[in-house]
Amino acid sequence: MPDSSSKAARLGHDRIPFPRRYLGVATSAFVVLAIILSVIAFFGQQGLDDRKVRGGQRVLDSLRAERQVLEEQQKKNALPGAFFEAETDHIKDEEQQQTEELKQLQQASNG
Amino acid sequence: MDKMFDLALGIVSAMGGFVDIGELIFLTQAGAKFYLSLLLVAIVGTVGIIVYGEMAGRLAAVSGYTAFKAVRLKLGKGVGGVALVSFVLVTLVTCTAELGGMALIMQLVTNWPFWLCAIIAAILVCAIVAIFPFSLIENVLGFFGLAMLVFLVAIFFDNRDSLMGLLEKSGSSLPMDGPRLLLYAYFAVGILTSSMMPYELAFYASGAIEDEWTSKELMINRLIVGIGFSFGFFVAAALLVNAASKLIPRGIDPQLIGASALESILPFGWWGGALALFGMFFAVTGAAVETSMSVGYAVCQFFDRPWGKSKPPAEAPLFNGLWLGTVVVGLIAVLIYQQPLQIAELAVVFSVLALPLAYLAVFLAASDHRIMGMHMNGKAARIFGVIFIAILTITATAAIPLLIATGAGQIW
Repeated sequence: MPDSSSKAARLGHDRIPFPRRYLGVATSAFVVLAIILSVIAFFGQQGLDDRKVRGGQRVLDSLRAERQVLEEQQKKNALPGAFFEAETDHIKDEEQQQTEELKQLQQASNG
Repeated sequence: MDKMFDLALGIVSAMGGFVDIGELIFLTQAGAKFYLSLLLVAIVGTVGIIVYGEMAGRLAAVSGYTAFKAVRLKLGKGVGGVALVSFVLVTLVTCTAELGGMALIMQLVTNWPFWLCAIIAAILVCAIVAIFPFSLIENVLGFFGLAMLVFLVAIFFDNRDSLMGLLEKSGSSLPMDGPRLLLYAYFAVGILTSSMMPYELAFYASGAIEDEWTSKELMINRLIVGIGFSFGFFVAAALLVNAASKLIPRGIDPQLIGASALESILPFGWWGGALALFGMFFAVTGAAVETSMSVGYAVCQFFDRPWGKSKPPAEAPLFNGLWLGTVVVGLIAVLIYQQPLQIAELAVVFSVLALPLAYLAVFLAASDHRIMGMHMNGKAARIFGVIFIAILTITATAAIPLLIATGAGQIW
């Protein structure tokens, strides 16, 4: 049981005065604010096609760089288990997906 | 002697279990995009989980109140219910991501099909929760996760930049225009949230009850969160530093989990890779176990139903049904949508919605003299507590807009 003779007890019970009845209102206000910001963000990023293309290109370049590093490490027998085969397969899948997305972005950007 | 052993074990498991799939993704990507400039955010997140971990452990040890008992008590049925529902949903998504992460790491070792690895991962998680006593669950997985210390050692090897060079580049990598600033903010939110995932608080407080802590264990609680989480931070920070020093010079901006393992393969070769994969697998497995059990803990504590590993399943049917259901739903979700890293990113970002309310409830309960007596929050805990509630509220409001504005971190 709490020690009621402590200094804290003399200072009062709940040290943080908390108006619980306003919590629902405050939570709803933050949710509404987040929704408004999300809508602004959605329309704001519509005009950033060139940045999206640059981002997609960067991902593709990175995947190629990783594949090259993997091939170097494979030659040195530095990769455990089936790391080389599995990670190369993952890279292939990711490249395919990114290339598709990039194509669509470029079409949208040109059209 | 037993207490010293418990303390050492607690520190080791807190350290080894600090990293999960969210941190693996956000820290590695942040290092590969902004050098060391987001390290400060990781420090802030670690201080946050130390402050609130200590508070939740103290609350549980002194009063027997866990995080979601505090939510019910301090926020009431309405807002508390909203906190519970958002917690359950984001923890379910997090468990899905952790199961997917386990499957991906298993695939890197075996090259078996993803679906098979995911099923094995789910069976392994179920077996661990069903068979092992709580003390083994909390300690063994964290202990094996310590293999990730190899990332910390890797900091000192195979670097193409000196520390000063990295710091200079960190300064010049700071975003100058709008879209890059938003990208920076998105990763800041991701790193902060992944350090303070809500399931960590729920699991830690419930663990204190499972371990039958009383006010005699308050010093152990303080040392475990203080030392264990601080050292855990060093392992997590090593992921970011190695990405800046080893991956950027090679043109790699990690998109796959294997790129994280490369941080250890590049300096140490085969054994570095083996240790990294071993440590990552057990760290992620630990997180999968914790997320599944946390759903059971939270719901049962909120509705005051029997819970706990020490009770036979027949005495705590809701608790056992919930953790099992979480794993099964997580498995189905990851088999349908086979993109665990994207799921993990979403889990981290959406987790922020459950954070402020759950943390607020723990803070209020630990500041209440009627509950805590002489062990209620002191001045420092109250100041830090309020600061982190403010940070988490701002973060929660900004998280989803940032996710949309940056195309989940893909707009460059």
